[in-house]
Amino acid sequence: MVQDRAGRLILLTNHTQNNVLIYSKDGQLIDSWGNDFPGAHGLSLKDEGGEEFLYITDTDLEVVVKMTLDGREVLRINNPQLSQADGGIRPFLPTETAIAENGDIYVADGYGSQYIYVYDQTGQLKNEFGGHGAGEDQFFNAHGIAIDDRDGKPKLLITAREKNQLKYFDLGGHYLSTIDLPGAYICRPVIHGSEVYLATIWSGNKADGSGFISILDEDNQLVSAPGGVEPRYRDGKLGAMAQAVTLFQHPHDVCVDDDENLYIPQWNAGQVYPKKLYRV
Amino acid sequence: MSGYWWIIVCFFSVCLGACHRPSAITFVQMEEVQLSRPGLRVNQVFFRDVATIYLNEPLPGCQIYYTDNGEVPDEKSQVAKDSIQLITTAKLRLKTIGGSYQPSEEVSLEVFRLKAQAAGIKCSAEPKAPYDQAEAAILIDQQKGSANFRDGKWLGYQAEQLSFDIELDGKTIAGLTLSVLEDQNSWIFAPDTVQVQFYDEADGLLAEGQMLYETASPKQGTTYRFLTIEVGEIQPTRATLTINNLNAIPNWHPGSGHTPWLFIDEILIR
Repeated sequence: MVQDRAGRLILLTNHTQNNVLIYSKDGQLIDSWGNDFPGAHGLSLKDEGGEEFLYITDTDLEVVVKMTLDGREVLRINNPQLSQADGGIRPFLPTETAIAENGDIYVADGYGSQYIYVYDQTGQLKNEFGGHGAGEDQFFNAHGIAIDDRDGKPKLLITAREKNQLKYFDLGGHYLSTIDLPGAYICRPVIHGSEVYLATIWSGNKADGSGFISILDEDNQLVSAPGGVEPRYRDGKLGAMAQAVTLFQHPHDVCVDDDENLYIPQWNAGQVYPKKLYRV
Repeated sequence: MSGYWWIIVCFFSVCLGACHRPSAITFVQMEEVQLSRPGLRVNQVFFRDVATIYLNEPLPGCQIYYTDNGEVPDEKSQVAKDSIQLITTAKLRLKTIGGSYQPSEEVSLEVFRLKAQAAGIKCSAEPKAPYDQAEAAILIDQQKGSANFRDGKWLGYQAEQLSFDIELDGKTIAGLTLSVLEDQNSWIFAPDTVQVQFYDEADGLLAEGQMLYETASPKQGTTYRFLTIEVGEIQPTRATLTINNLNAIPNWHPGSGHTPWLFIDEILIR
């Protein structure tokens, strides 16, 4: 879920009757479109020279599609058809995108090869890095990606869900550092102001319905966990996180609006509407 | 839930006025929210001296209550702080209660103090690939498998009936516990019935028992199940264990009609 410049909330679903639902902040349905994304998963919004575009990943169609806000397709990136070690074609099940100021498109293949692919603004593949593995520059479920420029130096912040970690890379794909979030199976990082917001789809031993929300401050310390236990650091290390109350089941994204209220869309939660947390 | 605070409200509540907390909105109240089940971790489910159960800290104003006598835990039960230490086989029931929230669902946990050990084992059926990468001897090695059924400490079977011949050393025992995994999302079901017969050196039947388990009803999550048959004190040299499984996954499950998996990590002599 994202908010556009006009203040509208844009929600992506994998239901082909209404792939994109557009709401006002008070929950009134304004518009809907899209019947072509049975595996719709990731939604990013980018202002490109005054016009806003949506980047949608579809894990069924194995594509990334750039759309206008009214649903017109502008660019389609298909499976790059790269070979893997056994000679077969790598899977391509992209889960999220992040768009750099130069127009480069970073695609996290979180349900597929675990590589991060870098395309130019015309859809030409420029670079790849990461991949599946236990190495510090590799991933088990690279579910989300964002460009973190909070310190004025843009870097990639990438989810390593099964490792309960976020990883920093430079824009050239070189590994920089890791943030440990033990017990938190996180979705994509959403950067707003000085904080990072993370839907945490499971916690602890990954029990069904054990999700909560994680919020990191400007120093990437977990300072708040709505629905979770109180974050505790000891000797600089975060203690294991877990759900404390059943406010959420499987949070899958966080949208922060221009009043800094939070909207929490969920996966596998009885088809509930996103929940809203009002800032106080 | 500390640091920054938000108030939760359903997305479709009506927002009137320009303030952050419009009065027309009905916010979710604490009394409507259920606490999560206690988070816990045990160092050794099968132990020789002491089992320690480590507990997650509950929210301020809440406590984890537990019983070890089979009763449902409530605010009159024992309070668990940080950890619980056990020196005997036990089954605990735990709940988080307090803070005006609705009490959590219950969690149960069993730990087993190891005493007797089987001397050998043979099974009527082979485990099925890819969960056949260990010898049958792991079923009597007194090592608990993890919740990851691919950890090499589990054997996976797909058979309507399994029979095990178990060698014993003639020392005094009191029964048997079958340790299985239940993870219905992964098509792994516990058995429907478990039967055991104990024999002496002359092949005379000393005791027998049976346990029925309601495996066909929907269950959440990944759970260790310990199916125990008590027979009183006997000194057998052999046991026959028969496990009957569902012949097909029930209709309510996405895998309806397919053969369910049975995962066993241990057969404990009590």
